[in-house]
Amino acid sequence: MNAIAIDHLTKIYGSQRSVDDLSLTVAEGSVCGLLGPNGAGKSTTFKCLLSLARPTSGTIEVAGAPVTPATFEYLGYVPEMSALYEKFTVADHLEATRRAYTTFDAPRASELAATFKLDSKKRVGKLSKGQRTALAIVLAFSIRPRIFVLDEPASGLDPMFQRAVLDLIIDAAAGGASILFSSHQIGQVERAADSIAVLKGGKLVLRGDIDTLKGDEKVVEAIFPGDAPSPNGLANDPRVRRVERNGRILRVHVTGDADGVVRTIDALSPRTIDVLDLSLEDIFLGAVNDGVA
Amino acid sequence: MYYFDYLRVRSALRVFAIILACVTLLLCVSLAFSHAHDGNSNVTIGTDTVSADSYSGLALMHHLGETTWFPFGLLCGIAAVITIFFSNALATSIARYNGNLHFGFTKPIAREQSALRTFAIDLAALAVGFLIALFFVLVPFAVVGLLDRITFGPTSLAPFALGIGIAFMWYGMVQAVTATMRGGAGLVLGLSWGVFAVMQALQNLSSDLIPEVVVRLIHFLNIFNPFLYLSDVFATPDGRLTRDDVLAPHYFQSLAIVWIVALVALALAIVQRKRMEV
Repeated sequence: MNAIAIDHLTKIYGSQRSVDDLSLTVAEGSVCGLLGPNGAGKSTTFKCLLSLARPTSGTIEVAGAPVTPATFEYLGYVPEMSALYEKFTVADHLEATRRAYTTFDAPRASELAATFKLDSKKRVGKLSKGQRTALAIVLAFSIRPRIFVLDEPASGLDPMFQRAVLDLIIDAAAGGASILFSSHQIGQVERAADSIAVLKGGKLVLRGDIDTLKGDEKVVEAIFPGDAPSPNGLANDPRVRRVERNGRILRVHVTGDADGVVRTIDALSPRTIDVLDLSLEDIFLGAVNDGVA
Repeated sequence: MYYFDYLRVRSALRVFAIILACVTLLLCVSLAFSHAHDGNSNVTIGTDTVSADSYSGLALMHHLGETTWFPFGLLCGIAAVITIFFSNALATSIARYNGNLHFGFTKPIAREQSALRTFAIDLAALAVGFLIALFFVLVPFAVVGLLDRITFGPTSLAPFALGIGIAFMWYGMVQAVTATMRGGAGLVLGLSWGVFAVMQALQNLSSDLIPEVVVRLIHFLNIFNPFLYLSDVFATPDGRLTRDDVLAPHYFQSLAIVWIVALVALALAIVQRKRMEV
Protein backbone atom coordinates (compact mmCIF):
# COMPACT_ATOMS: atom_id res chain seq x y z
CA MET A 1 0.00 0.00 0.00
CA ASN A 2 1.17 3.53 -0.70
CA ALA A 3 1.66 5.84 2.25
CA ILE A 4 0.69 8.77 0.05
CA ALA A 5 -1.23 8.58 -3.22
CA ILE A 6 -1.95 11.74 -5.19
CA ASP A 7 -4.00 11.09 -8.30
CA HIS A 8 -4.49 13.71 -11.03
CA LEU A 9 -4.39 16.60 -8.55
CA THR A 10 -5.18 20.02 -9.95
CA LYS A 11 -5.47 23.17 -7.87
CA ILE A 12 -6.48 26.45 -9.48
CA TYR A 13 -6.42 29.80 -7.65
CA GLY A 14 -8.30 32.33 -9.78
CA SER A 15 -6.65 32.05 -13.18
CA GLN A 16 -3.47 30.53 -11.72
CA ARG A 17 -3.04 26.77 -12.17
CA SER A 18 -0.80 26.14 -9.15
CA VAL A 19 -0.81 22.36 -9.48
CA ASP A 20 -1.60 20.79 -12.82
CA ASP A 21 -2.69 17.15 -13.07
CA LEU A 22 -0.13 15.88 -10.60
CA SER A 23 0.00 12.15 -9.89
CA LEU A 24 2.52 11.00 -7.32
CA THR A 25 2.85 8.11 -4.91
CA VAL A 26 5.12 7.55 -1.95
CA ALA A 27 5.48 3.91 -1.10
CA GLU A 28 5.37 2.78 2.50
CA GLY A 29 8.80 3.03 4.12
CA SER A 30 10.28 5.17 1.35
CA VAL A 31 11.59 8.73 1.24
CA CYS A 32 10.60 10.99 -1.62
CA GLY A 33 12.16 14.39 -2.20
CA LEU A 34 9.90 16.94 -3.83
CA LEU A 35 11.96 19.45 -5.76
CA GLY A 36 11.15 22.47 -7.81
CA PRO A 37 11.98 26.14 -8.22
CA ASN A 38 10.04 28.73 -6.17
CA GLY A 39 6.41 28.80 -7.27
CA ALA A 40 6.56 25.32 -8.75
CA GLY A 41 3.58 24.18 -6.66
CA LYS A 42 5.30 22.24 -3.89
CA SER A 43 3.64 24.06 -0.99
CA THR A 44 0.25 23.99 -2.72
CA THR A 45 0.65 20.25 -3.18
CA PHE A 46 1.34 19.91 0.53
CA LYS A 47 -1.67 22.08 1.39
CA CYS A 48 -3.96 19.90 -0.71
CA LEU A 49 -2.38 16.77 0.68
CA LEU A 50 -3.11 17.93 4.24
CA SER A 51 -6.63 19.23 3.47
CA LEU A 52 -5.52 22.78 4.16
CA ALA A 53 -6.74 23.59 0.65
CA ARG A 54 -9.42 21.87 -1.43
CA PRO A 55 -8.24 20.34 -4.71
CA THR A 56 -9.98 21.69 -7.78
CA SER A 57 -9.92 18.13 -9.06
CA GLY A 58 -8.19 14.86 -8.31
CA THR A 59 -7.99 12.69 -5.24
CA ILE A 60 -5.56 12.27 -2.38
CA GLU A 61 -5.19 9.33 -0.05
CA VAL A 62 -2.94 8.90 2.96
CA ALA A 63 -2.42 5.35 4.21
CA GLY A 64 -5.12 4.20 1.80
CA ALA A 65 -7.85 6.56 2.97
CA PRO A 66 -8.91 10.17 2.37
CA VAL A 67 -7.42 12.68 4.80
CA THR A 68 -9.52 13.25 7.93
CA PRO A 69 -8.61 14.67 11.34
CA ALA A 70 -7.80 11.11 12.42
CA THR A 71 -5.05 11.02 9.75
CA PHE A 72 -3.04 13.46 11.84
CA GLU A 73 -2.73 10.92 14.63
CA TYR A 74 0.02 9.29 12.57
CA LEU A 75 1.11 12.10 10.23
CA GLY A 76 3.76 14.60 11.28
CA TYR A 77 3.93 17.89 9.40
CA VAL A 78 6.51 20.66 9.33
CA PRO A 79 5.21 23.68 7.41
CA GLU A 80 7.41 25.92 5.32
CA MET A 81 6.33 29.09 7.12
CA SER A 82 6.33 29.31 10.89
CA ALA A 83 2.79 28.59 12.04
CA LEU A 84 3.62 28.59 15.72
CA TYR A 85 1.96 30.78 18.34
CA GLU A 86 4.26 33.75 18.88
CA LYS A 87 2.97 34.70 22.33
CA PHE A 88 3.52 31.26 23.81
CA THR A 89 6.70 29.52 24.88
CA VAL A 90 8.48 26.45 23.58
CA ALA A 91 7.22 24.55 26.66
CA ASP A 92 3.65 25.66 25.92
CA HIS A 93 3.92 24.23 22.40
CA LEU A 94 5.25 20.95 23.72
CA GLU A 95 2.42 20.80 26.25
CA ALA A 96 -0.21 21.61 23.60
CA THR A 97 1.19 18.83 21.42
CA ARG A 98 1.22 16.41 24.34
CA ARG A 99 -2.47 17.12 24.92
CA ALA A 100 -3.33 16.74 21.23
CA TYR A 101 -1.60 13.37 20.62
CA THR A 102 -1.87 10.09 22.42
CA THR A 103 1.45 9.10 20.81
CA PHE A 104 3.41 12.04 22.19
CA ASP A 105 6.79 10.86 23.45
CA ALA A 106 7.89 13.32 26.18
CA PRO A 107 11.46 11.99 26.66
CA ARG A 108 11.94 12.08 22.89
CA ALA A 109 10.67 15.68 22.79
CA SER A 110 13.08 16.71 25.55
CA GLU A 111 15.93 14.99 23.80
CA LEU A 112 15.15 16.69 20.48
CA ALA A 113 14.70 20.10 22.15
CA ALA A 114 18.15 19.64 23.70
CA THR A 115 19.61 18.61 20.33
CA PHE A 116 18.39 21.85 18.79
CA LYS A 117 19.31 23.83 21.92
CA LEU A 118 15.80 25.19 22.38
CA ASP A 119 15.13 27.15 25.58
CA SER A 120 11.78 25.86 26.82
CA LYS A 121 10.95 29.13 28.59
CA LYS A 122 11.50 31.28 25.53
CA ARG A 123 8.52 32.68 23.68
CA VAL A 124 8.26 31.72 20.03
CA GLY A 125 8.18 35.40 19.11
CA LYS A 126 11.72 35.68 20.47
CA LEU A 127 13.06 32.71 18.50
CA SER A 128 15.06 33.07 15.29
CA LYS A 129 13.70 31.66 12.01
CA GLY A 130 15.94 28.63 12.36
CA GLN A 131 14.86 28.01 15.96
CA ARG A 132 11.21 28.14 14.92
CA THR A 133 11.90 25.58 12.23
CA ALA A 134 13.70 23.49 14.84
CA LEU A 135 10.72 23.68 17.18
CA ALA A 136 8.36 22.61 14.39
CA ILE A 137 10.65 19.64 13.74
CA VAL A 138 10.76 18.73 17.44
CA LEU A 139 6.95 18.80 17.60
CA ALA A 140 6.55 16.70 14.44
CA PHE A 141 9.10 14.06 15.42
CA SER A 142 8.04 13.80 19.06
CA ILE A 143 4.70 12.22 18.13
CA ARG A 144 6.53 9.37 16.38
CA PRO A 145 4.39 9.44 13.22
CA ARG A 146 4.38 6.76 10.52
CA ILE A 147 4.19 9.35 7.77
CA PHE A 148 6.02 12.66 7.54
CA VAL A 149 5.27 15.61 5.32
CA LEU A 150 8.10 18.10 5.63
CA ASP A 151 8.05 21.37 3.73
CA GLU A 152 11.57 22.82 3.74
CA PRO A 153 12.46 21.18 7.07
CA ALA A 154 15.96 22.68 7.18
CA SER A 155 14.94 26.22 6.28
CA GLY A 156 16.94 28.79 8.24
CA LEU A 157 18.97 26.21 10.15
CA ASP A 158 22.74 26.40 10.43
CA PRO A 159 24.80 23.55 8.88
CA MET A 160 25.09 21.70 12.19
CA PHE A 161 21.33 21.59 12.72
CA GLN A 162 20.74 20.85 9.02
CA ARG A 163 22.79 17.73 9.58
CA ALA A 164 20.69 16.94 12.66
CA VAL A 165 17.51 17.20 10.57
CA LEU A 166 19.03 15.00 7.90
CA ASP A 167 19.90 12.41 10.52
CA LEU A 168 16.34 12.54 11.88
CA ILE A 169 14.92 11.91 8.41
CA ILE A 170 17.31 9.05 7.73
CA ASP A 171 16.66 7.59 11.20
CA ALA A 172 12.88 7.79 10.77
CA ALA A 173 13.13 6.16 7.33
CA ALA A 174 15.28 3.39 8.79
CA GLY A 175 12.54 2.86 11.35
CA GLY A 176 10.01 2.28 8.57
CA ALA A 177 8.46 5.74 8.30
CA SER A 178 7.33 7.12 4.94
CA ILE A 179 8.53 10.62 4.17
CA LEU A 180 7.65 13.21 1.58
CA PHE A 181 9.78 16.30 1.91
CA SER A 182 10.72 19.34 -0.07
CA SER A 183 14.00 21.16 0.08
CA HIS A 184 16.06 23.61 -1.88
CA GLN A 185 19.15 21.91 -0.50
CA ILE A 186 19.65 19.27 -3.13
CA GLY A 187 22.55 17.66 -1.32
CA GLN A 188 20.22 16.95 1.57
CA VAL A 189 17.64 15.36 -0.74
CA GLU A 190 20.34 13.31 -2.43
CA ARG A 191 21.46 11.87 0.90
CA ALA A 192 18.05 11.19 2.41
CA ALA A 193 15.70 10.38 -0.45
CA ASP A 194 15.22 7.15 -2.40
CA SER A 195 13.35 8.91 -5.15
CA ILE A 196 12.56 12.41 -6.32
CA ALA A 197 9.73 14.22 -8.01
CA VAL A 198 10.46 17.51 -9.75
CA LEU A 199 7.72 20.08 -10.23
CA LYS A 200 7.84 22.99 -12.60
CA GLY A 201 4.92 25.36 -13.18
CA GLY A 202 2.67 23.00 -11.23
CA LYS A 203 3.47 20.05 -13.48
CA LEU A 204 5.47 16.97 -12.69
CA VAL A 205 8.46 17.10 -15.02
CA LEU A 206 10.55 14.31 -13.56
CA ARG A 207 9.88 11.37 -11.29
CA GLY A 208 12.05 8.42 -10.45
CA ASP A 209 14.47 6.55 -8.30
CA ILE A 210 17.65 8.58 -7.79
CA ASP A 211 20.04 5.75 -8.71
CA THR A 212 18.06 4.97 -11.85
CA LEU A 213 17.96 8.63 -12.86
CA LYS A 214 21.68 8.93 -12.44
CA GLY A 215 22.24 5.81 -14.54
CA ASP A 216 25.69 5.78 -16.14
CA GLU A 217 25.61 9.43 -17.12
CA LYS A 218 28.75 11.52 -16.60
CA VAL A 219 29.46 15.22 -16.90
CA VAL A 220 32.55 16.43 -18.68
CA GLU A 221 33.27 19.88 -17.24
CA ALA A 222 35.83 22.11 -18.88
CA ILE A 223 36.91 25.62 -17.91
CA PHE A 224 38.42 27.87 -20.58
CA PRO A 225 40.58 30.98 -20.24
CA GLY A 226 37.95 32.99 -22.15
CA ASP A 227 34.34 32.26 -23.09
CA ALA A 228 33.77 28.55 -23.66
CA PRO A 229 33.79 27.72 -27.38
CA SER A 230 30.99 25.91 -29.13
CA PRO A 231 32.28 22.35 -29.59
CA ASN A 232 31.64 21.32 -33.17
CA GLY A 233 30.49 17.79 -33.75
CA LEU A 234 29.32 17.03 -30.22
CA ALA A 235 25.68 17.79 -30.96
CA ASN A 236 25.52 14.84 -33.34
CA ASP A 237 27.36 12.46 -31.01
CA PRO A 238 24.82 9.84 -29.81
CA ARG A 239 26.57 9.67 -26.40
CA VAL A 240 25.97 13.38 -25.73
CA ARG A 241 22.69 14.09 -23.97
CA ARG A 242 23.10 17.79 -23.37
CA VAL A 243 25.62 20.60 -23.80
CA GLU A 244 25.67 23.62 -21.47
CA ARG A 245 27.76 26.74 -21.99
CA ASN A 246 27.95 29.32 -19.26
CA GLY A 247 30.71 31.92 -19.64
CA ARG A 248 34.04 30.12 -19.35
CA ILE A 249 32.39 26.85 -18.36
CA LEU A 250 31.42 24.09 -20.75
CA ARG A 251 29.52 21.05 -19.46
CA VAL A 252 28.70 18.08 -21.62
CA HIS A 253 26.42 15.32 -20.33
CA VAL A 254 27.54 11.98 -21.67
CA THR A 255 26.15 8.48 -21.36
CA GLY A 256 28.56 5.58 -21.38
CA ASP A 257 32.22 6.09 -22.22
CA ALA A 258 33.27 9.76 -21.99
CA ASP A 259 36.78 9.37 -23.40
CA GLY A 260 35.91 10.41 -26.92
CA VAL A 261 34.14 13.55 -25.72
CA VAL A 262 37.06 14.38 -23.42
CA ARG A 263 39.45 14.17 -26.37
CA THR A 264 37.22 16.45 -28.48
CA ILE A 265 37.02 19.07 -25.76
CA ASP A 266 40.70 18.78 -24.88
CA ALA A 267 41.49 19.77 -28.45
CA LEU A 268 39.87 23.15 -27.70
CA SER A 269 42.63 23.86 -25.11
CA PRO A 270 40.65 24.30 -21.90
CA ARG A 271 42.40 25.44 -18.70
CA THR A 272 41.04 22.41 -16.82
CA ILE A 273 38.91 19.42 -17.73
CA ASP A 274 37.21 16.95 -15.36
CA VAL A 275 34.91 13.99 -15.69
CA LEU A 276 32.31 14.04 -12.89
CA ASP A 277 29.60 11.64 -11.80
CA LEU A 278 26.15 13.04 -12.49
CA SER A 279 24.77 14.72 -9.35
CA LEU A 280 21.18 15.16 -8.34
CA GLU A 281 21.69 18.86 -8.86
CA ASP A 282 22.53 18.16 -12.52
CA ILE A 283 19.40 16.03 -12.85
CA PHE A 284 17.24 18.68 -11.19
CA LEU A 285 18.62 21.54 -13.26
CA GLY A 286 18.29 19.46 -16.41
CA ALA A 287 14.64 18.80 -15.60
CA VAL A 288 13.65 22.36 -14.73
CA ASN A 289 15.64 23.92 -17.54
CA ASP A 290 14.48 21.52 -20.23
CA GLY A 291 11.25 20.29 -18.75
CA VAL A 292 12.19 16.80 -19.86
CA ALA A 293 13.29 13.73 -18.05
CA MET B 1 -5.64 24.28 20.11
CA TYR B 2 -7.60 24.53 23.29
CA TYR B 3 -4.48 24.55 25.47
CA PHE B 4 -3.48 27.89 23.97
CA ASP B 5 -7.05 29.12 24.52
CA TYR B 6 -6.79 28.06 28.14
CA LEU B 7 -3.49 29.95 28.55
CA ARG B 8 -4.95 33.00 26.83
CA VAL B 9 -8.08 33.24 28.99
CA ARG B 10 -6.13 32.50 32.17
CA SER B 11 -3.86 35.43 31.45
CA ALA B 12 -6.81 37.67 30.50
CA LEU B 13 -8.72 36.75 33.68
CA ARG B 14 -5.67 37.52 35.80
CA VAL B 15 -5.33 40.99 34.25
CA PHE B 16 -9.08 41.56 34.56
CA ALA B 17 -9.06 40.64 38.27
CA ILE B 18 -6.07 42.90 38.94
CA ILE B 19 -7.73 45.86 37.21
CA LEU B 20 -10.99 45.36 39.11
CA ALA B 21 -9.12 44.94 42.40
CA CYS B 22 -7.29 48.23 41.81
CA VAL B 23 -10.49 50.08 40.90
CA THR B 24 -12.34 48.65 43.91
CA LEU B 25 -9.48 49.45 46.25
CA LEU B 26 -9.35 53.00 44.93
CA LEU B 27 -13.11 53.34 45.42
CA CYS B 28 -13.02 52.02 48.99
CA VAL B 29 -10.02 54.14 49.97
CA SER B 30 -11.57 57.28 48.53
CA LEU B 31 -14.78 56.55 50.46
CA ALA B 32 -12.93 55.87 53.69
CA PHE B 33 -10.84 59.02 53.54
CA SER B 34 -13.46 61.39 52.20
CA HIS B 35 -15.95 63.42 54.24
CA ALA B 36 -19.65 63.51 53.67
CA HIS B 37 -20.02 67.20 53.12
CA ASP B 38 -19.56 68.91 49.87
CA GLY B 39 -18.84 72.47 50.89
CA ASN B 40 -21.72 72.43 53.42
CA SER B 41 -21.22 71.97 57.13
CA ASN B 42 -24.33 69.75 57.51
CA VAL B 43 -25.85 66.88 55.56
CA THR B 44 -29.40 65.58 55.59
CA ILE B 45 -30.01 61.88 55.97
CA GLY B 46 -33.65 60.99 55.89
CA THR B 47 -35.32 63.45 58.25
CA ASP B 48 -32.16 64.12 60.24
CA THR B 49 -29.67 66.89 59.68
CA VAL B 50 -26.28 66.12 61.12
CA SER B 51 -22.80 67.60 61.18
CA ALA B 52 -20.93 66.55 58.05
CA ASP B 53 -17.60 66.44 59.84
CA SER B 54 -18.79 63.55 61.94
CA TYR B 55 -19.43 61.39 58.86
CA SER B 56 -16.90 59.75 56.60
CA GLY B 57 -17.95 58.86 53.09
CA LEU B 58 -18.32 55.24 54.23
CA ALA B 59 -20.62 56.16 57.10
CA LEU B 60 -22.74 58.33 54.86
CA MET B 61 -23.08 55.56 52.31
CA HIS B 62 -24.06 53.20 55.08
CA HIS B 63 -26.77 55.53 56.34
CA LEU B 64 -28.08 56.18 52.86
CA GLY B 65 -28.09 52.48 52.07
CA GLU B 66 -29.98 51.57 55.21
CA THR B 67 -33.14 53.03 53.71
CA THR B 68 -32.81 51.11 50.42
CA TRP B 69 -33.02 47.50 49.25
CA PHE B 70 -30.55 46.21 46.72
CA PRO B 71 -31.93 43.33 44.64
CA PHE B 72 -29.21 40.84 43.82
CA GLY B 73 -30.32 41.06 40.19
CA LEU B 74 -29.18 44.67 40.11
CA LEU B 75 -25.70 43.67 41.23
CA CYS B 76 -25.69 40.88 38.67
CA GLY B 77 -26.61 43.44 36.04
CA ILE B 78 -23.68 45.68 37.01
CA ALA B 79 -21.34 42.68 36.95
CA ALA B 80 -22.72 41.59 33.58
CA VAL B 81 -22.06 45.01 32.03
CA ILE B 82 -18.49 44.93 33.35
CA THR B 83 -18.19 41.45 31.83
CA ILE B 84 -19.26 42.77 28.42
CA PHE B 85 -16.22 45.06 28.42
CA PHE B 86 -14.10 42.10 29.46
CA SER B 87 -15.48 39.96 26.66
CA ASN B 88 -14.42 42.50 24.06
CA ALA B 89 -10.89 42.49 25.40
CA LEU B 90 -10.78 38.72 25.88
CA ALA B 91 -12.17 37.41 22.67
CA THR B 92 -11.46 39.64 19.72
CA SER B 93 -11.89 36.97 17.08
CA ILE B 94 -11.05 33.41 16.28
CA ALA B 95 -9.29 35.01 13.29
CA ARG B 96 -6.41 35.73 15.68
CA TYR B 97 -5.35 32.15 14.94
CA ASN B 98 -5.38 32.55 11.18
CA GLY B 99 -1.60 32.82 11.15
CA ASN B 100 -1.36 29.47 12.92
CA LEU B 101 -3.63 27.37 10.73
CA HIS B 102 -0.83 25.18 9.38
CA PHE B 103 -0.35 24.18 12.99
CA GLY B 104 -3.95 24.17 14.23
CA PHE B 105 -5.59 22.51 11.21
CA THR B 106 -3.13 19.61 11.09
CA LYS B 107 -4.03 18.18 14.47
CA PRO B 108 -6.23 15.14 15.07
CA ILE B 109 -9.30 17.20 15.81
CA ALA B 110 -12.04 18.35 13.45
CA ARG B 111 -12.02 22.05 12.63
CA GLU B 112 -15.57 22.57 13.87
CA GLN B 113 -14.76 20.82 17.12
CA SER B 114 -11.68 22.98 17.53
CA ALA B 115 -13.72 26.16 16.94
CA LEU B 116 -16.40 24.95 19.34
CA ARG B 117 -13.78 24.38 22.02
CA THR B 118 -12.44 27.90 21.53
CA PHE B 119 -15.95 29.33 21.87
CA ALA B 120 -16.70 27.14 24.89
CA ILE B 121 -13.51 28.24 26.62
CA ASP B 122 -14.32 31.90 25.91
CA LEU B 123 -17.85 31.41 27.24
CA ALA B 124 -16.51 29.72 30.36
CA ALA B 125 -14.03 32.57 30.78
CA LEU B 126 -16.90 35.05 30.50
CA ALA B 127 -18.74 33.18 33.23
CA VAL B 128 -15.67 33.24 35.46
CA GLY B 129 -15.14 36.90 34.56
CA PHE B 130 -18.72 37.57 35.63
CA LEU B 131 -18.11 35.91 39.02
CA ILE B 132 -14.95 37.98 39.48
CA ALA B 133 -16.85 41.14 38.56
CA LEU B 134 -19.69 40.21 40.92
CA PHE B 135 -17.22 39.68 43.74
CA PHE B 136 -15.74 43.12 43.22
CA VAL B 137 -19.22 44.65 43.01
CA LEU B 138 -20.02 43.11 46.40
CA VAL B 139 -16.80 44.30 48.05
CA PRO B 140 -17.91 47.97 48.43
CA PHE B 141 -21.21 46.74 49.95
CA ALA B 142 -19.24 44.72 52.47
CA VAL B 143 -16.91 47.64 53.22
CA VAL B 144 -19.86 50.00 53.72
CA GLY B 145 -21.69 47.34 55.75
CA LEU B 146 -24.70 46.92 53.51
CA LEU B 147 -24.52 43.23 52.64
CA ASP B 148 -27.66 42.62 54.71
CA ARG B 149 -29.59 45.03 52.46
CA ILE B 150 -29.06 42.82 49.42
CA THR B 151 -32.11 40.74 48.58
CA PHE B 152 -32.39 37.54 46.58
CA GLY B 153 -35.29 36.47 44.44
CA PRO B 154 -36.15 33.66 42.06
CA THR B 155 -35.00 35.69 39.05
CA SER B 156 -31.85 37.13 40.61
CA LEU B 157 -29.56 35.46 38.11
CA ALA B 158 -31.61 36.47 35.06
CA PRO B 159 -29.54 39.65 34.50
CA PHE B 160 -26.48 37.42 34.42
CA ALA B 161 -28.03 35.31 31.66
CA LEU B 162 -28.94 38.45 29.71
CA GLY B 163 -25.61 40.19 30.34
CA ILE B 164 -23.58 37.16 29.29
CA GLY B 165 -25.96 36.66 26.38
CA ILE B 166 -25.30 40.23 25.18
CA ALA B 167 -21.55 39.69 25.50
CA PHE B 168 -21.78 36.46 23.54
CA MET B 169 -24.12 37.93 20.94
CA TRP B 170 -21.54 40.64 20.30
CA TYR B 171 -18.74 38.10 20.31
CA GLY B 172 -20.66 35.78 17.96
CA MET B 173 -21.37 38.49 15.40
CA VAL B 174 -17.72 39.55 15.38
CA GLN B 175 -16.74 35.88 14.85
CA ALA B 176 -19.22 35.49 11.98
CA VAL B 177 -17.90 38.58 10.21
CA THR B 178 -14.19 37.97 10.80
CA ALA B 179 -13.81 34.16 10.92
CA THR B 180 -11.84 33.92 7.69
CA MET B 181 -10.17 37.34 7.72
CA ARG B 182 -6.38 37.40 7.51
CA GLY B 183 -6.21 40.56 9.59
CA GLY B 184 -8.30 43.47 10.75
CA ALA B 185 -10.52 41.50 13.12
CA GLY B 186 -9.57 43.89 15.93
CA LEU B 187 -10.55 46.80 13.69
CA VAL B 188 -13.97 45.24 13.07
CA LEU B 189 -14.46 44.83 16.81
CA GLY B 190 -13.37 48.41 17.49
CA LEU B 191 -15.66 49.80 14.79
CA SER B 192 -18.55 47.71 16.09
CA TRP B 193 -18.75 49.96 19.15
CA GLY B 194 -19.30 53.02 16.97
CA VAL B 195 -21.68 51.28 14.58
CA PHE B 196 -23.82 49.89 17.40
CA ALA B 197 -23.88 53.26 19.20
CA VAL B 198 -24.97 55.09 16.04
CA MET B 199 -27.59 52.44 15.27
CA GLN B 200 -29.03 52.79 18.75
CA ALA B 201 -29.17 56.58 18.40
CA LEU B 202 -30.99 56.21 15.06
CA GLN B 203 -33.55 53.94 16.74
CA ASN B 204 -35.21 57.01 18.26
CA LEU B 205 -35.67 58.87 14.97
CA SER B 206 -39.28 59.20 14.02
CA SER B 207 -40.83 58.78 10.58
CA ASP B 208 -41.48 62.55 10.55
CA LEU B 209 -37.77 63.05 9.90
CA ILE B 210 -36.91 60.08 7.70
CA PRO B 211 -38.97 57.78 5.47
CA GLU B 212 -40.95 55.09 7.22
CA VAL B 213 -39.13 52.35 5.33
CA VAL B 214 -35.78 53.57 6.70
CA VAL B 215 -37.19 53.67 10.23
CA ARG B 216 -38.39 50.09 9.85
CA LEU B 217 -35.02 49.04 8.45
CA ILE B 218 -33.21 50.64 11.39
CA HIS B 219 -35.55 48.90 13.83
CA PHE B 220 -34.90 45.58 12.09
CA LEU B 221 -31.13 46.04 12.10
CA ASN B 222 -31.22 47.00 15.75
CA ILE B 223 -32.49 43.53 16.59
CA PHE B 224 -28.82 42.62 16.17
CA ASN B 225 -27.56 45.57 18.22
CA PRO B 226 -26.25 44.48 21.63
CA PHE B 227 -26.51 48.05 22.96
CA LEU B 228 -30.27 47.87 22.58
CA TYR B 229 -30.51 45.15 25.21
CA LEU B 230 -28.07 46.66 27.71
CA SER B 231 -30.73 48.72 29.46
CA ASP B 232 -32.86 45.58 29.79
CA VAL B 233 -30.27 44.13 32.15
CA PHE B 234 -31.59 46.52 34.81
CA ALA B 235 -35.21 46.65 33.64
CA THR B 236 -37.99 46.44 36.22
CA PRO B 237 -41.70 46.95 35.49
CA ASP B 238 -41.82 50.49 36.84
CA GLY B 239 -38.12 51.35 36.75
CA ARG B 240 -37.85 51.33 40.55
CA LEU B 241 -35.87 49.12 42.85
CA THR B 242 -37.94 46.92 45.10
CA ARG B 243 -37.21 44.36 47.72
CA ASP B 244 -37.80 41.62 45.14
CA ASP B 245 -36.22 40.94 41.79
CA VAL B 246 -39.06 41.67 39.38
CA LEU B 247 -38.30 41.65 35.68
CA ALA B 248 -39.82 43.72 32.92
CA PRO B 249 -42.41 41.88 30.78
CA HIS B 250 -40.20 41.83 27.68
CA TYR B 251 -37.18 40.58 29.62
CA PHE B 252 -37.35 36.98 28.47
CA GLN B 253 -37.97 38.03 24.89
CA SER B 254 -34.72 39.99 24.97
CA LEU B 255 -33.00 37.06 26.64
CA ALA B 256 -34.16 34.70 23.90
CA ILE B 257 -33.16 37.06 21.07
CA VAL B 258 -29.61 37.68 22.29
CA TRP B 259 -28.91 33.99 22.83
CA ILE B 260 -30.44 32.93 19.51
CA VAL B 261 -28.46 35.58 17.61
CA ALA B 262 -25.30 34.54 19.50
CA LEU B 263 -25.73 30.87 18.69
CA VAL B 264 -26.66 31.42 15.03
CA ALA B 265 -23.69 33.77 14.56
CA LEU B 266 -21.32 31.26 16.15
CA ALA B 267 -22.73 28.50 13.95
CA LEU B 268 -22.02 30.69 10.90
CA ALA B 269 -18.46 31.25 12.11
CA ILE B 270 -17.96 27.51 12.55
CA VAL B 271 -19.24 26.76 9.04
CA GLN B 272 -16.78 29.31 7.65
CA ARG B 273 -13.91 27.77 9.62
CA LYS B 274 -14.81 24.34 8.32
CA ARG B 275 -14.75 25.50 4.71
CA MET B 276 -11.73 27.76 5.08
CA GLU B 277 -8.67 27.30 2.87
CA VAL B 278 -5.20 28.13 4.09
